[in-house]
Amino acid sequence: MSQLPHFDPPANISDSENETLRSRWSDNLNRFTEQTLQNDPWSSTNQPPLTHYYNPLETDISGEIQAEIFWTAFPKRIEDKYPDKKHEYADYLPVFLQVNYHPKGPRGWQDEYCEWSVTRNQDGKIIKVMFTCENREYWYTLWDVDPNAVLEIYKELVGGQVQLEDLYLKDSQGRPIIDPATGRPAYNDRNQWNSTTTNGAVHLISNPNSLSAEIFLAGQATVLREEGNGDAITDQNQLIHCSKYGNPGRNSDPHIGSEVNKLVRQRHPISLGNPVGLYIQDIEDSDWDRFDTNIDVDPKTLWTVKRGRKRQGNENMDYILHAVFEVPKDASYTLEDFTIDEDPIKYGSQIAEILKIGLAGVALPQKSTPESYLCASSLDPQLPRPYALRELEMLGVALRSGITHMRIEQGETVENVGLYAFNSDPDATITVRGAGVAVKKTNVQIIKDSTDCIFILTIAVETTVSPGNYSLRITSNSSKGPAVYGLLEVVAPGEISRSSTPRLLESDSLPVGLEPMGVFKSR
Amino acid sequence: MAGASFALRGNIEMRRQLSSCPPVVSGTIYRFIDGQDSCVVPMDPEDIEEKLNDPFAQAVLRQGNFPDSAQAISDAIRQSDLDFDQTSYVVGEGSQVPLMVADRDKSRSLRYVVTWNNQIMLSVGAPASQSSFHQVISWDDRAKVFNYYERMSQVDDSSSSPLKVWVWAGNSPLARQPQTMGHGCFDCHHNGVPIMKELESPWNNWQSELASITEHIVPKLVANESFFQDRSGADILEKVIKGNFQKYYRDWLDARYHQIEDDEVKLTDVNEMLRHVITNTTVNLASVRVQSKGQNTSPPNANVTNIPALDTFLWDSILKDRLNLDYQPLRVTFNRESYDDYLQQHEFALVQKDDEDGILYEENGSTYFAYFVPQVAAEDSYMTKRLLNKSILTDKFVAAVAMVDFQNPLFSEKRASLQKYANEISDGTISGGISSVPTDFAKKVQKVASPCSNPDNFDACTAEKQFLYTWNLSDDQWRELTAKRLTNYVKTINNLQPSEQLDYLMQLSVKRRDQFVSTPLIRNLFEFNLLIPETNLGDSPPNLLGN
Repeated sequence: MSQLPHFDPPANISDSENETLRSRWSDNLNRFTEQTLQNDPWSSTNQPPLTHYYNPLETDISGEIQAEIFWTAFPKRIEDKYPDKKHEYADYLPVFLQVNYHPKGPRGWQDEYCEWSVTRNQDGKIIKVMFTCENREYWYTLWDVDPNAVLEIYKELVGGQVQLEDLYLKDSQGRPIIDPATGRPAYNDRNQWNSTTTNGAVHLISNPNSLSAEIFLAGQATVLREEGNGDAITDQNQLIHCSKYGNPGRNSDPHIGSEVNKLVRQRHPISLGNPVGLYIQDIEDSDWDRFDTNIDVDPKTLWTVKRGRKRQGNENMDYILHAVFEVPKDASYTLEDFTIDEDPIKYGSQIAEILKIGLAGVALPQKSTPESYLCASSLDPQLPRPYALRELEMLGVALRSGITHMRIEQGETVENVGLYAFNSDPDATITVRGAGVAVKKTNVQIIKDSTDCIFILTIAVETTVSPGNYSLRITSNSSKGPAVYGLLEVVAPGEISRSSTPRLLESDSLPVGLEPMGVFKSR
Repeated sequence: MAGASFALRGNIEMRRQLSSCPPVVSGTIYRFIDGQDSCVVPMDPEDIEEKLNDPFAQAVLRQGNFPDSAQAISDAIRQSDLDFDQTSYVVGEGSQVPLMVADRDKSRSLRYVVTWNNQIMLSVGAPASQSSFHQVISWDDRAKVFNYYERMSQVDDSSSSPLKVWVWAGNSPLARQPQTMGHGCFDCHHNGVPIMKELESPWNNWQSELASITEHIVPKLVANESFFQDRSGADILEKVIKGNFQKYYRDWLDARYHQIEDDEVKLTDVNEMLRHVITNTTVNLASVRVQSKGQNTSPPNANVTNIPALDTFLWDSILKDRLNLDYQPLRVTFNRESYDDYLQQHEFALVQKDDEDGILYEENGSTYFAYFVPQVAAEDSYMTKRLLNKSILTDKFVAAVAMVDFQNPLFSEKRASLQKYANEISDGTISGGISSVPTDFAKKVQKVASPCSNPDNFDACTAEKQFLYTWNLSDDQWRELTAKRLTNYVKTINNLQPSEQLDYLMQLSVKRRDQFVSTPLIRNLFEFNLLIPETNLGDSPPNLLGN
């Protein structure tokens, strides 16, 4: 049996000499995948455990073939809604339109797994556009093991002015939030160098642009759907509404879902190709044919891949993570001296319009035809669902980063652990599968205007508990859903540099960075 | 590309009856330039050497390789010394017609376009294994033209299985030669460049990132073909086509833009340049981005928004986006229920017919994406911008032309009539940054007309008078006054009640489609019945707004 030994970092990039980065990243992807395989039986009908999505770490991948999926980087929602101002709005969303997209502002709008930032000279002419498609889950993982590596990349991409403190998650008084598991300040992905369309775009921050959600979408799209009369549902918009995966109205999610579903309909089990990631595709010759200029400069020389790489050999896609289109320092010209389709380049979004983003799907040889289901709908009543488990003050980071599990050493007891849960009553029982892990509930915080709550727990792991992933279940008023895979990871003694006990929060306050959960509930 | 190839070739039929041609033999490159040649004739080696220097000729035909199917073409290119990547695309006007209307074996007018890098393009029917039509367009980077090739039999060969040979069907410049214009490949490739009728999102009839052509809806033979299985989206082909025609036009214009001295340029073929501003040299088709059926929208049953698509109502890409005239383009929303009722009331339906006009099937409703209408050609908008960027034309000149019968950016006989003045201008100059072209043109018009003196009844004025009205406005006034006219026009639609807006714009769409299928040359692009819906709306919509 031939399995994938581990998941590699995006584009197989080497960002740190700290060897644990690769294993931590692979473990995170494994958890995303296993949780995806569970689907969503907690809140939906017709969302069964997946039969045609597979974990390549656990599956014989002999005969696996790759199928690439591409979509346009320019946000469809802007094009649909504001066709006459699309280029301007994609770069600089007016304040009065900053609704329903998170984070507020144009980066929240850039929701096709590609975000960019524009630099202008003193005359307001555009001189640089940087594009990124890097997922934030990876950057949080990198920060966890090597914050200085993160800083160095920021300096390289944005400039030497970036300081480590600029990247810290801080409370309302400006004090860094210390991660008890590392003893170091936690990372803020929406820091000043990565939260606007003017100061830098290092990695993705728009809420829908998360890799874990992407994996979940690909997984849910493997469920075949049919009408009540048995007719197959294949239209991509009908599918996304029927299956309730991803975000409708984008170029990406409906298309990705439809392409995945198409392969499953042909009886292929599906997964995402290693290295799992989202990748900017190189500008093609036919696109360069649309550029022109009156000055003696080849526009191709202005396009530089900063992270990741272009395709090699027989590969069918590029693995670009970060690229810039910029004039050289001290150039006497600007990007406005170049045209695309004879229109001078005035906005970064004009380049985004020709860029494609891609991901690699992989398909195994055909097997049995999967069962077909009616459309998913809301389960009534919904089952209690554990969502994220971390040291209490890190719960906001967990939700933001998508890394929703807690690490604990054999023989360790940790107080003030936060468990974010959906649809649970305060008296619920929380259990971790497997002997030797004790969970004691010490308090509960109800989230206003929602059915969400935060349980505050003490978790004790005996020394005899084997390292690995442990699932967690909530039983509430005798209603219970499946345990969620891997919310607790037990590691060997010495792997965690825990410096302090997680802190209790002041009454009624939420962990820093914790946003309303509606935006995260897709996974 | 996809579009040119499948129209009836009446001209060939005529020649078949008139000529007696020697039989063709395999293993030779032939020539048949429709309109010029009466028979398929072997090409002289000198002719081949001089004219066939594109990669398809060099790597395939000139190597003595004459593939007889799409797969054989693919194999030949792969086995050649060209290191090209193959990409295939699928289009079909019936590609979104559900199985409950037509089973998978019913004709959905499916075709493939296959490209190798952006150098070779193949147009072939689907299933490719049964298609008798193969058209190849290949870029000759030395001559800066596209060469056209087809497989065809001798014109008067009426045998049951005539031998087909590869013919060179001409190159880009022949699209504009009187003898060959509108013939052969150039019946659809009006300017000699690759075309894609739907050259912008959402690509109504194509597999794309916005709509998938699923395998269970096409014949099994198609579903099993690698061209289908490996299909890419029209969103990618669009880039190839745009890049290709721009490459051609850039070289074409450069060859007519002679830098004599630092500040002195001599221009030739000015009349050909001006065609793109004054006339519709060809057209594209575009829809809004909302699906016509409520069940397919996101969210379901969404209103139909942002009607009409760019450059289908006014020439906004030039007047608004390029000239920066201060007006708001028309953006209307059709209430979903009203729209659905309207389609039903006026019996909109996609009707597939056989060769004898018999109905094979019909689907009630309209095209997959709503409001699918002709659009000012991307080629014309591109060339107009390029002429501006090269300072051959001025903003004011373009505005003066575009504002002649501006309510009809397409199919305006009135505006097109101005081409006769352009045809008198073959040469021009740019001296010290000032082009002679706008003034030369204006002088010719001024000789025969005076400016329209009654802007309140503008439509009654001749094309010449309308042109001169804008042209004669002072430099500090023309933008404001022109924008005001556009604003007032858009306002007349915006001020209508929603039901009146719906009725007017739907009738306008029918009118535009009727013009599309009846305008000489342009109508060659109407190859398949399913391209546009049938309706019970009359041919002559009420003239609400001077249209």
